[in-house]
Amino acid sequence: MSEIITTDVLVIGAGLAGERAAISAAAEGNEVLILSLVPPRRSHSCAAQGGMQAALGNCAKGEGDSEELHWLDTVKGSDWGCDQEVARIFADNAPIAMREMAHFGVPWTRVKGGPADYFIKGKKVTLEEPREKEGLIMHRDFGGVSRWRTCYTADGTGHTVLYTMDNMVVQLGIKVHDRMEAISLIHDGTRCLGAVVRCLRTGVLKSYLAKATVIASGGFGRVYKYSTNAIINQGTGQSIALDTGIVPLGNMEAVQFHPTGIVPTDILVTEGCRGDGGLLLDVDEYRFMPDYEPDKQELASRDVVSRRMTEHIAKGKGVPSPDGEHLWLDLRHLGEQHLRTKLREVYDICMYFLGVNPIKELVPVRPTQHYSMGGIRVNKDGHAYGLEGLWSVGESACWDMHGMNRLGGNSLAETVVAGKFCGQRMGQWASQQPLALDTKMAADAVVVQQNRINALLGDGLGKANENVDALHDAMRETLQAKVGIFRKGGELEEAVDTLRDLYQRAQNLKLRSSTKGANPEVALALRLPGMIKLGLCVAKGALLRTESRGGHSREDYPERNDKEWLKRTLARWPEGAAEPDISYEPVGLLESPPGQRGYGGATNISMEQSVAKYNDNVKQEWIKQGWHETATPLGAELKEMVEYASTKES
Amino acid sequence: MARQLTFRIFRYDPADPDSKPGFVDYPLEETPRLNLFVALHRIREQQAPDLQFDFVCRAGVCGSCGMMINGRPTLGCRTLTAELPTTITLAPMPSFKLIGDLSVDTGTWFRGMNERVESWIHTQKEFDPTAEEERMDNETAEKIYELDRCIECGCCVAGCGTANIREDFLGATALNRIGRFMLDPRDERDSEDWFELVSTDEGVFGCMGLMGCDDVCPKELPLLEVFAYMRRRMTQVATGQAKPDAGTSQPVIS
Amino acid sequence: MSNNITHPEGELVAVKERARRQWKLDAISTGTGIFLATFMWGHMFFVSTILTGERGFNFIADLFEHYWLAQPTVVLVTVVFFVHFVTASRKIPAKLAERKRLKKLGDDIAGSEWNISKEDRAELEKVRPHKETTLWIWQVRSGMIILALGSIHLFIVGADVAQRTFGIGEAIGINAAETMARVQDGMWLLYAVLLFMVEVHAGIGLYRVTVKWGLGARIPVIGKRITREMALIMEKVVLWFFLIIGFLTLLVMAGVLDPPLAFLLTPEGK
Repeated sequence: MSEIITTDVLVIGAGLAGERAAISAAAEGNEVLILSLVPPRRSHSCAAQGGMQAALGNCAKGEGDSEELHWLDTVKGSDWGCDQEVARIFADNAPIAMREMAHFGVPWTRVKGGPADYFIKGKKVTLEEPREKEGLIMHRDFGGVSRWRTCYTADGTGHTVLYTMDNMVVQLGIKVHDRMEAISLIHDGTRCLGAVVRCLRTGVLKSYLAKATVIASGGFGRVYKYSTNAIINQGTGQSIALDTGIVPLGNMEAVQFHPTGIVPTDILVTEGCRGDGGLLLDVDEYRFMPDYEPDKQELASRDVVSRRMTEHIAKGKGVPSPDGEHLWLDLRHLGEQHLRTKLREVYDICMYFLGVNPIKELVPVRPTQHYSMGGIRVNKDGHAYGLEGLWSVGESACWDMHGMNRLGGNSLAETVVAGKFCGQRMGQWASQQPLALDTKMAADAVVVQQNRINALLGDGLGKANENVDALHDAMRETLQAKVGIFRKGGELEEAVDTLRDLYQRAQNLKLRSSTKGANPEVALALRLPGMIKLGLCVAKGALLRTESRGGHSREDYPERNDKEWLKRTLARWPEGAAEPDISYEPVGLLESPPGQRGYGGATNISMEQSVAKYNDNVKQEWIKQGWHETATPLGAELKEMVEYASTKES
Repeated sequence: MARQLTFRIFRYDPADPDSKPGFVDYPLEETPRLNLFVALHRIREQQAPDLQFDFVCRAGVCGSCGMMINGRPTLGCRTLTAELPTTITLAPMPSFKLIGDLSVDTGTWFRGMNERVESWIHTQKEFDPTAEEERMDNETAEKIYELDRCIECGCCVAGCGTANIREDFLGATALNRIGRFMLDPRDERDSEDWFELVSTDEGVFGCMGLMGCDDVCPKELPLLEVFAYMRRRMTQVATGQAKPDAGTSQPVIS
Repeated sequence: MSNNITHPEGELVAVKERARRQWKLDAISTGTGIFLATFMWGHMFFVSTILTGERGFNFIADLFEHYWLAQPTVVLVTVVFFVHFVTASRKIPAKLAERKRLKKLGDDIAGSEWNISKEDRAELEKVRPHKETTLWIWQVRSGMIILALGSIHLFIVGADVAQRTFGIGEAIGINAAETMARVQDGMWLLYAVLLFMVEVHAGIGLYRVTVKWGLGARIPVIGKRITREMALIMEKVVLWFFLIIGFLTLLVMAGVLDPPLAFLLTPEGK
């Protein structure tokens, strides 16, 4: 019989969210074990460059900032698609989480009092940084915000925070089993008991049993052909949750395209480039963003900038190249000193991967898949719908502070805030649970997975003839071509058809290798059907959502429709089904009624229902979808709304 | 005409009793701006589906893809084939346990390293969620960040003569990490604590001074300057001249 | 530190003592190295007085012996010489396979297989520099040669000094005529090799010491920080300076060259 490992809390994924949750859970007295596809410090969190949003208001342009403003910027950024209570929890806890990270050891860039030079909206300005704030955490500007509130360490924020977090994990002696992949959840239909795990060193299967299982496996960007995501971001966590047939994935059609992926290699250069004064230019080296967005210019929210760039390219203003059309990012005026210190990673990436020196030359960029707002639908404590004992935090979750679009710097901050907050709630919950040791169920679950692997390595089902890499490519190309920045009904239908077909074909994979151990072809073959399923959830959700909101933009339905679509898509995959079941729930209690974002220029179809009526329905609709009761009552974290006018920009 | 490349790749699966270590040749046509990330994936897709290697971020920041490229330890994703002759020899990094082919177990090694040097802030202070963050001048923060940029790729260890022949040697990455915490005013470890950590033969005084680490570090960390600073500071400790906490007042990085 | 928890108290003390001992050994090898290098330069200057003719040389030699400077120096240098050998050779790997591994690694890091063509070598060396392993290997080799040849030299000179001091035999001590005769009798080969090896060994050694101990420190007065490039340039200047002086001296001693600086001690026109 295969090995069984037991622990109180099992965390799947050792990025920032997973590790922060693990630390919180350990602080509640639980034994915690983390699984990771790669050594924890290689997790994709390390690649985040720009920073983390938190309303500390320490610098000149951050003056007067508050949690209130941060919350409202987040709600606006989400195009009112988020759960506003969760956004409150986030905005209120972000400053504490940043200070805590400072206590843990992050070398945040600090305020230097006195005059300092910046580039704002294309012009050089000198601001007087407050001397009484000398030595506090500094901020930089980011897209879609009313104040400077992005805390950062040069352009290695994710790296320094992840290293500091993993230092804490090492200090606390939390066990990390790296090169381990959870390939299915062990559950009885109501309760999650752990996971079946494949060792990527040896190919051996084990089962891990725990009171609470936390999925913190990051995004699924790699279902797209061009993505800024690390190659491990294949949505393994979301797929195993979807495989249960019970747990829904929320808002999978909400996919973010980042304006500045470099061409060709699709590596991200941070939004901090534009935050620090970088400009977007077209084929004529003309700065086009002020024409589209006179107010926010290059620093509108990411969905808007990406759309404007795509629009501009469609007008024939793109720069032709063998790797497709692109636009330019101009950093030259920031100067060598700035580029070699505060944007050093960006400088290195341009030099090593493009052979372009950003001090003297323009950087080729285009919008590239970057983030998945959608994920495992959880309540505000992080507890997944439908299965008790399954939790999720970070990008893999749809906690839903991002709604249909997230603001730059909000997701990196989310990892530590959600990790801390949900980790604590989960830890408290777990410490009151008995450990259910159903070794029979664990063994059965392992057998099911072992049979899958044996079938792949053996002759399959007789008619096995499909090549893993070919299907993998076809899936990525379909999503890239037909479920991109601008979406059309016809193309989305084609995409759903193609993906449905690919999913069927993925049942008949034929491997070319027969190595039994850590065979990478087996790993991909095991992931592929799950990835196609996620792709289908994205495509079908996008097809059915006949409006444009945040990152989801339909050419045939350009308005945001608050009358019919102020709701969250939930996708479930019943056992044996050929495509996901889609249903909907209200986005959450509304504190701020849907309004104008102030950028993006879309028209809205207003709500007909009153806010009070909408709110009345929320809880019962959620319960129908499998929502778990939370530690504090629904709405407990909401506040009395301050007057909207006072939050307008100064 | 595009060059015809030959990738001479080390193949060995320690888990398979029939596998024998050795090099296998894979031909591949060069395409513009081809790097080893793309090249190895092409080889895996077209010729060797079970070829093991590690990439994660493919952008030079995660430190996964350290390997010996024509004998030199460096990051695969950042290496363009154009820099190399037509025969490209790839081998796994020494000093780390082999997982298979080009893949080595840096995770276990670095966890051990982090435990050994106690890579965390040692402080008696409790975090106070209601208080303002403790202040730090920006220059100190920048100095810490300079050393905190290590990506734990292992190239410095693979390129270290001493580490190649002495398993217990801390290696440049560990010494750099110690330097990072020495600089950090939040860490309360004192000179005596540092002394017993770095002043042994496994530490900075075991270094032979071959400077391989400095020459191969993909992040261009000021490793030699950190070690020189440590030697001076440890000598102050040994000769009783150390200030109670020399900390940040010491210039390390130019 | 958690050492307090994981190690029993006794072991903690042991760790501290071990750390101190190893610091001491490294400091001794470095200190003796610097001492020997400094001595060698002084030595070179004094021997090079032959460039001014026999009179200059004999004056210095006589001075040192008369005022009892030479005698303790010979003893001290001999002791330091062997202490340096013992402490410094700790770093040399004992096994042949290990030494081979070092050499291979050094060659590989230097990018011997990264070169597309010989012509590009200079260009590529800028991008992928590494010569320190080669330098280190030569430091070891030169050290071994110095150990052998230097011992002979120390013995001869020690005998010279001892003869005069204790009044044995002709008892004239170190003098130009005898030294030159010795050189011309075939000892030039020993001295040429020893000279070259000493300068190489001291040059590389001081470069390494500068990098290992001084990097990043501010140079007094100028205020600049020491970098690896600066250390390498200094090493080269010092190496060539003493090599040139050394070989000129040797040529004069071998009688091939007339003392070029003889005019300094000879009245004009004579």
